[in-house]
Amino acid sequence: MRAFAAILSLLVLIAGVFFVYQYFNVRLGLVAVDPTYATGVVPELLQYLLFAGIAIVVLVALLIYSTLTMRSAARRIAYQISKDISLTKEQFRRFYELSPVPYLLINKHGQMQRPNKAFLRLVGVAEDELRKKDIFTLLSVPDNPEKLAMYREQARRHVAIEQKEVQITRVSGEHRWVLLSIEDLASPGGGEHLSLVTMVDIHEQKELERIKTEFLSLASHQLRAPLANLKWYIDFLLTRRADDINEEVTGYLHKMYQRNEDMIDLVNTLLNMSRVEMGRVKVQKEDTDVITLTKSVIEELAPAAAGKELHIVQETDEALTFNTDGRLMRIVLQNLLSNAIRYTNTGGTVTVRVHGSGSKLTLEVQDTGVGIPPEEQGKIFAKLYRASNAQAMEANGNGIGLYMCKALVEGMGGTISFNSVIGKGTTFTVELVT
Amino acid sequence: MQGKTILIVDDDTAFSEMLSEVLTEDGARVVVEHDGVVGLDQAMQSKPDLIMLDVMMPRMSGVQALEKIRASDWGKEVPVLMLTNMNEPEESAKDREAGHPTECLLKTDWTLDQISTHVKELLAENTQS
Repeated sequence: MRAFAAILSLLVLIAGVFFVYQYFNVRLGLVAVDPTYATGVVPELLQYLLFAGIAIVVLVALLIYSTLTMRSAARRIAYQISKDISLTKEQFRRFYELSPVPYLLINKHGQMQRPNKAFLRLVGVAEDELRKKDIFTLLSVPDNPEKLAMYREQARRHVAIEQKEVQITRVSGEHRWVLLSIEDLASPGGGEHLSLVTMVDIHEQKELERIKTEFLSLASHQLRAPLANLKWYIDFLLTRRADDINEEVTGYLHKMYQRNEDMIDLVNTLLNMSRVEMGRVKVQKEDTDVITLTKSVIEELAPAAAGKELHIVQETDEALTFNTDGRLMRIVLQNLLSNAIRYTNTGGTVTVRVHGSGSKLTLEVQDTGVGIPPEEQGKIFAKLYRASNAQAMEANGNGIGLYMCKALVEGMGGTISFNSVIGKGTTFTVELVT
Repeated sequence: MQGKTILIVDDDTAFSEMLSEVLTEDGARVVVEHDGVVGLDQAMQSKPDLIMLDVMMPRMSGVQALEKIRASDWGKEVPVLMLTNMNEPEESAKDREAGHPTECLLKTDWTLDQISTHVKELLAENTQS
């Protein structure tokens, strides 16, 4: 191209100079022969015009040359860029296709496009069968169908969906648990507005979780049944046959009752601990009615408080919805309240406060109990630790409660602290964030 | 509790017999059934003043029995205490609430006196309402 441009420009240059020169030469010749030929035209002026003419020709030639060569350079660069883009596109396509994570593109109506190999494997189909179908017809949220409608709506409005647990129905009819994420793919320069769907197969984990939960339910149920029986047999003898038994027997029966209560407590804690283990794996925050939750925990523990003639005071906001994990919050509250009841003497008061402001929720459980000795306060959250005065007061208690509370609260991104004065009481404060 | 009828439906014989003994001593007329299906029949026939239902029973669960009771004309308002050894408030709360029991009690949480008092209160409330 450059050679052609050079030759062309040179030709233009030579031809141009030649003709310009000839033209002016002829005119100069005519003037020389007949001075009256070109009156008013000074010969010097003609000379200047000659030079100007030549200069213009040279410029034109240069212009032709540079235009031609620039266009070719531009074309070469454009070609190179398009080759690079094709290469990158090709690489990307391969990443997308070969990714072990199921990928899919959908439009705002949920219509499926470009499922990658992993996705096709997940669903168990060939590509053709999926085209244009609505992805949400394959998904379900057991126990919570409204959630699916919500996700559908979010996808329609291009609102990102991050790692939600849903089930996908395979072509075989089997359901598998997956972690669904939908990310908007902005499309500058027109073209259909698509979103990227990713699904991580978490079926095995969920199944394991389910098996664990079922086992624990069954185990706790089976363990509790005989414990409940024993509790009432001993209770019966102590309260309704007291006249038939002597002091020595009564004494032993009391001890038996106590050990039985310890076992009941242990089963409760075992169950809770295992829930904590699972809670550590995944904190699920949702908008929760924390006031109703608090009320229900207080109700649950009301009999225990009544048994010691304790007064439970509830100081909470009228109504409050907070984004947090309700199950875990319940366990923490149960623990703190149960401790407060346990370590407060007859006739005392336990106050439960729940207040929220913005992204912070504050829970307080205050008792008029025995308090925690200052030298032991640093260890109170340690596993299996029980303060000396607590042990003296109640043989019950296994030292796991506060350890668990701390783990749960911190797992939710919150903090737990306390204030305690011996003989006056203790206040535990939990601060949760959304 | 004099003159009141209480129906206990629980496959745990030791538990239900003990509960029956205590409530009888307190003056109620107690009937005990160990099977959900039979228990349901008994409830419909004798229309007790209070029912205590165990949640997990072989042939028919307490929840199912309760739903049937609530579906009947008589059974809509009768006080029903669900008894259980399982304590999964989050997981099975929805199921248990299906029949609108008056209350769900964890067996190991209650002493005999506490349960007796609670039953007395419920029966008294019901008479007034």
